Order: sequence, then C-alpha cells, then structure tokens
Amino acid sequence: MQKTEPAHSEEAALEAEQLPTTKGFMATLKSVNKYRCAAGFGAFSIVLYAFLYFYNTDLTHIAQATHDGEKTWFFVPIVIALVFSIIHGSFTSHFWDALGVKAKS
Amino acid sequence: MDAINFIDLNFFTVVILFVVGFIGGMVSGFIGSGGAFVLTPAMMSLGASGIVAVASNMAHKFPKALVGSIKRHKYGQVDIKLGIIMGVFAEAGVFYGKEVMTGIRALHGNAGTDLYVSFVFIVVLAIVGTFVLRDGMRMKREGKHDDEHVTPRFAQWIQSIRIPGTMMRFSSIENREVSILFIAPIGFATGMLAASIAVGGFIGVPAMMYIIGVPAIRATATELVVAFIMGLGGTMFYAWEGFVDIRLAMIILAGSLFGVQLGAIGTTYVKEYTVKYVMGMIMIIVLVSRLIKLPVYLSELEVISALNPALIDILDKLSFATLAFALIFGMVAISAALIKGMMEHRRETAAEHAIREYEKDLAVTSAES
Repeated sequence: MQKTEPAHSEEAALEAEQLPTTKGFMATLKSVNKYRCAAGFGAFSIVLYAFLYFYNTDLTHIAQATHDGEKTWFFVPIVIALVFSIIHGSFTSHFWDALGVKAKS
Repeated sequence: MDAINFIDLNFFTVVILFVVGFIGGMVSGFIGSGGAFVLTPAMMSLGASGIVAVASNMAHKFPKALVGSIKRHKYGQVDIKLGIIMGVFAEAGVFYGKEVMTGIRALHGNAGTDLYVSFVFIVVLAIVGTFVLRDGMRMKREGKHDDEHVTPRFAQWIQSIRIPGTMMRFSSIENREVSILFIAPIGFATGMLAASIAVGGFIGVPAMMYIIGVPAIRATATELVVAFIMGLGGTMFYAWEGFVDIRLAMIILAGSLFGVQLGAIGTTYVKEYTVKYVMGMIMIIVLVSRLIKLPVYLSELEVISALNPALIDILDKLSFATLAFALIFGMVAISAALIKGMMEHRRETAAEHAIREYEKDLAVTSAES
C-alpha cells in the first residue's frame, strides 16, 4: 500500500497535467466533426434534391399511373419521404448545432 | 381515368413552398401542431387541387413529426407509450372524419365541406384557444415554472377514477395511472379533427394537458408521435390513390425540417406558460381568419343573400392574410423566446464559470499561504 500510493499520486498529477490538453484536443475534434457532419449530410441532402428535380416528371407519371389503377409503385412517395426526412433531418440538426443553436442541457 | 392536376415547379413556387414550410415547421416543432392550416391553402393558391394539397401536406407532415419527435425524445419530453396509444385511436378518428367529410360533400358539395371545416375551426379554437391563453396568463401571474407543474383539478379527478382492467401507467404524469377509456375518445377526436381541418393537435395537446394532466411541454412533444402515426396512415391511403405530389411535399419538408428543429430547441429554453401563450394566440388569430370567411360559405349555400364578387375577393384575401399573420406571429414569438432564453443561459453559464474560477484561485492562494 505504502509503495503504491506515491505511484497513484504521480499518475494523478500526470493525469491532471494532461487533462486540459486532452480535453482541448477532444473539444477541437468534436467541433471539427460537427462541421464535417453538417457538410456531409448537407451534400447528401443536395444530391437527393437534385435527383428529385431531375426525376420530377417521372414521379408525377408514377402518381398518375397509380391513380389509373397500376398500384406497383404506390409506395414510392412514402419511401422518398422517409429517406429525405432521415438525411435532411440529420443535416438540419447538425446545421443548427454547427451554428451554435443547441438545446439547453 | 381522370388526370390529376400537378403544378409546374418554378423558382417562385419553390421559394414560396420552402419559406412557408420553414415557418410552419417552426410553429409545429414548438407547439406540437400548426403549420398545416396555412400550408394547404398555400398549395391550393399555387394551383394544386384540394385533394392533392391535403395528400401532399400529409406526406410532408409524417416525416417532419418523426424528426421532431426523435429530437424531443432526446430532451426527455416524449411519452412514447401515450403517443402510440393515442395515435392508434387517432387513426380510427381519421378514417371516420374522412367518411363525415365525404358524406357532407355528397349532400352539399364543396361549399358544404368548407362551411363544416370553418364551423369546426371556430368552435374548437374559441373554446380551446381562450382556455389555453387564460391558463398561460394565470401561470405567469402566479409565477409558476416548469418544475412546479401542477396537475389541473379536472385531470386529478380523471386520474382518481379507477376502472379495473383499463388502467395504464404513463411516465408523463409522474407514473400515475389513467384509464384507457379516457384516452380513446381524446385520440379519436384528435384524428377526426385532423381529417377535418388538418390540425388535430388543436384538440390533442390541450386534451392531454387538461384531461390527462400531462405538462404542456411533454404534451406538445407527445403530439408529434400521434401526428406521425396519423400522417403515415393518411399518406398510405392517399398514395394508394395516387394523390400525393411528392415533389411539393419534399420542398415543404426541406424548409420545415430547419424550422421544426429550431422550434424543438426553443422549447428547452422557455417557461411552460410561454408555450401556452404562443399556442393560445395562434389559435385566436386562426379563429379570426375563419370568421372572416364564414359569410362567403353561407352565401354559397344560399343561407344568406348572395355577396358581391368584389367583397368575396376581399374577404378571401383578408382571411388568407390573417392565417399568414398567425404563422408569422408564431415565428417571431418563438425566435424571440429562443434568443432571450439562449442569452440568459449563456450569461448564467458564464457567471457559474467565473465563480468556479474564483473559488479555484482562492483555494490555490490559501494553499500557497
């Protein structure tokens, strides 16, 4: 016990010295990740909306065909809505986070 | 087979839908409902037929509600069990509400359904809006805060009624029990109202607060789960008929997901009475907008003498402007509450940090001496 105590206090001192640096590094990493996440999901979201724009005529044709009795692709709008909500939802969440608008903890 | 009227997308249409979506999203993220009452008329003004506007609105609503409820679940505000149970009964209400609408349309045409919708709006908003606003004012006057949530007397009575075999425990009412027989009609009415005026939360949220005893912030969060279940069911129904214009729905979603996140963040900074204030004010402004439109429907159904076309045009525009004002009011009120709350929070955090630093310095100085 007597031998281990100084070692413990040395470790604690070392930890105390290193802690601010590690904390600072983690904070920097977190803030970089925050912007990267926002940019990544933002880019993904833009790609989805570009697809929506390029295939917008096909989507109205699918809806008209479904209305006319061809029900094979009736679920397409539901799948699109779910995919867009996950990707665009993640982007908007990270977007406000990156701007510093966060919920009160 | 008849052709569905899909509108052409241009820059102007996209910008309008995005902005309206953003504001509508912000209001619904904050008060758990709203937005839809101005989105449907906005889509119709851009050229979409009524049924496509309603169907597309629903298709944007359920993913928005999903994102909003996940976000608020992270803040610990959602009662998933209550939301799912209410959602199931609400789904039944949606289908019954649609039957009522179809029946009225068959008997009295579009003017009949318009009058029915406006009448429901006026009655519900007058009762609920006044009640919520008065309660918010009372809470502010008495200086009550979130952590001092007091279960309303009527809710206490409801919670005290024991009906064997129907009691369920809910986290949002401090793990107390309520009979499912009281939750079923609330869910059903929420769904029926959603099918009639597209804003079921105007009944669901106040009913959760005053009948079940759920705190306002948790009620608005739980309503998002109900809206998701109702929206998903409704979208499947309309998608099966091919009425969903997913392009319109996704453009609105693009704006509303920015808004719903901001609205949800806003709830973590405000007092419970602020949510009630904003909700009550929006309800009263929407009520005024429906009142303005009432003479138009009554004259179309020949209940009163025919109105001058110029007067009808003025009343139409005035009613729509009032709806837009309701949303803009909501956006300004929420933004102001959010900014004020964030600034206060930062000041408090900075003060706490300064005290901690001072205490640390003091400890070092005393150790050295």
